[in-house]
Amino acid sequence: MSLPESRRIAGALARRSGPQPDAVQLADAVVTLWREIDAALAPIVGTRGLAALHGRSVYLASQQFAWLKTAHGNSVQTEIDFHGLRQTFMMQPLPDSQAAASALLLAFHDLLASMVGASLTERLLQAIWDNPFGGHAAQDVSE
Amino acid sequence: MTPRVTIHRLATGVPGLDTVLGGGLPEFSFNLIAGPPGCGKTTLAHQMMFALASPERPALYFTVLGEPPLKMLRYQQQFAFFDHDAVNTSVRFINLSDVAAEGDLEKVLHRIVEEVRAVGPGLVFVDSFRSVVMSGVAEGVPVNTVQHFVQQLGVLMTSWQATTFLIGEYFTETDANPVFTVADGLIWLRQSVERNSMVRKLEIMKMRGQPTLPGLHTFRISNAGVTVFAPVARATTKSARAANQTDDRVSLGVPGLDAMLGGGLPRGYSLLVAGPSGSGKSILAAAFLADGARRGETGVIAVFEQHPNQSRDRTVADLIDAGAVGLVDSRAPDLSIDEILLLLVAEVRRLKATRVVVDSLSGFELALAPTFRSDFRESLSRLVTALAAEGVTLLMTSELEDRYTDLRFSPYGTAFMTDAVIVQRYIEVESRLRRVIAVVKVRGTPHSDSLREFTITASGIQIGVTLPDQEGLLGGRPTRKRLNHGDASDGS
Repeated sequence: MSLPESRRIAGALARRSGPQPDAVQLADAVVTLWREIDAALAPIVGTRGLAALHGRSVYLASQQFAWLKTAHGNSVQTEIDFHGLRQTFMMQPLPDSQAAASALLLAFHDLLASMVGASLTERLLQAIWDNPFGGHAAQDVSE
Repeated sequence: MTPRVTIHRLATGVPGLDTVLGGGLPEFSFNLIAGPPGCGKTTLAHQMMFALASPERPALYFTVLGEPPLKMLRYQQQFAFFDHDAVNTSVRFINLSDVAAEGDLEKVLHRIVEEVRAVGPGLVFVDSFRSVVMSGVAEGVPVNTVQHFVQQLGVLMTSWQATTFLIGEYFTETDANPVFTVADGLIWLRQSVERNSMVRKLEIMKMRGQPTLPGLHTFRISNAGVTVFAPVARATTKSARAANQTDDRVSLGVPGLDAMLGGGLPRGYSLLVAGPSGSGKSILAAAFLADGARRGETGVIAVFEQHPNQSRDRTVADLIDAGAVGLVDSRAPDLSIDEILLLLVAEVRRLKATRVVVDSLSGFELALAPTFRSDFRESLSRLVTALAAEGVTLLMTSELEDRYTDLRFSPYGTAFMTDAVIVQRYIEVESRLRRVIAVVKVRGTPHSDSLREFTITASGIQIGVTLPDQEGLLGGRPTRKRLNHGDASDGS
């Protein structure tokens, strides 16, 4: 399950960051993807519910990439801290940060699948992973 | 143009519920699904939603402060009705917990209206209503605001042509909650617990404009979802039974016994075979079914035993294997009479059966949930009536402890419910345990009044002779009569 999934996730990330991203482009791509996830899932599970899932994913992925911990505050968050997420990724060198971004998204995918099943997870996230129009993330200037 | 509005009734997709509702759910109605935690409200709502929702009639499911939506999705998809492909197409889940947490009901209402305008759903679910109420109360919002909220919601949803469901845990049903007045429909779910058994019950307390079936209806939640056991609809009475003629007879498969009944059992009659353990009741029941099979009639047997495989009659097992007899063997715990009747009648209709055996009433009573046992006579009466309406000939066995001090025919005082009664009992003659059989009653037709000895051999029940030289048989310890001269050999 996880192998093709990790490829899809890497693909989704690459489509948003461009082929040879720098740290900023990658950080923006990560934020773009998480905003898309937020748009798709927060209406269903609530912003707090999604923040909790994000927090757990950060915890799981930080077993492998300890620096990820700063992407999600220790206290109970009511929503995903996109600014903190961007900062965390901007400070890391490639390709380590690329691998960490994928690991974080994969952890999130697997976590959601363990909660609501692979089929429903696919139903909810498919548009994000397979979105061919997920362009470069440079336009994300919200932070 | 027709002068009256036609209200479409939606098929809920919940087996039995449409019958109880009186023909389905009225379109654009505003309904409450109420009951204590864990009684199946959310499951019922989901089942209806997945059955009713389509791309043309999408559903919106608002989750408020109740169950976290992630968990709801996790658990609801365990049911067969949960259709993944419908999610985000016909069915949309929308979480309002963030708005609700602020405690402003106006905002909650506003969000609901916003989403409804955007999607244009045919179905709207708000789960759970109590949490809406509680969040309002917690913030010091007066109750009339809550009522206002519900009223507004009711008005808006009806105008938007959406069939709406509020799901809520209500405190007490006697509480004159003004919300009940606003609603068009009120579906109340209950759980009745007695000793170790739990029975789920559903009541339609209100459904505007249609004849619902009153009272509590049992339901069960399985992997398939909710099944409501609606009372079995009366079959159109078959001609044989309607005429109530006794000249069309059914053989019991035991030659001498047919003669004792006056030429067999009138078709469509119910027969109670009572006797002590081991006296041959089940063997008689098997002979009855086998005789039917020989004549090309199908039968149904309902067994209520703890270990049916150990005790099932070989003849019956063969008939079941051959497809001549249908088996109703529900070992689900805490059965209700409606559930048993539905199973039985469905099997009778499927096989077009003419003979039905219930073996035994004692087991049947034990299979019922304790809460129904106090009404056992009523349950039995409904069983007999419903099967009579199907036009079948019914044979029921009943364990009857031999009592030699008084004469009894049925343990439940049920003899009056059945059309015919046969009693078997043990007697002691010359230090041997022997069996006697008698026809106690056959309604509306003459029958033998003799007590006949019978034996059970490899080929079944063999009816023997009367024991004219013995008297006091019913006392269990007959004594040899003082014979004068020229004694009869067979009194039948």
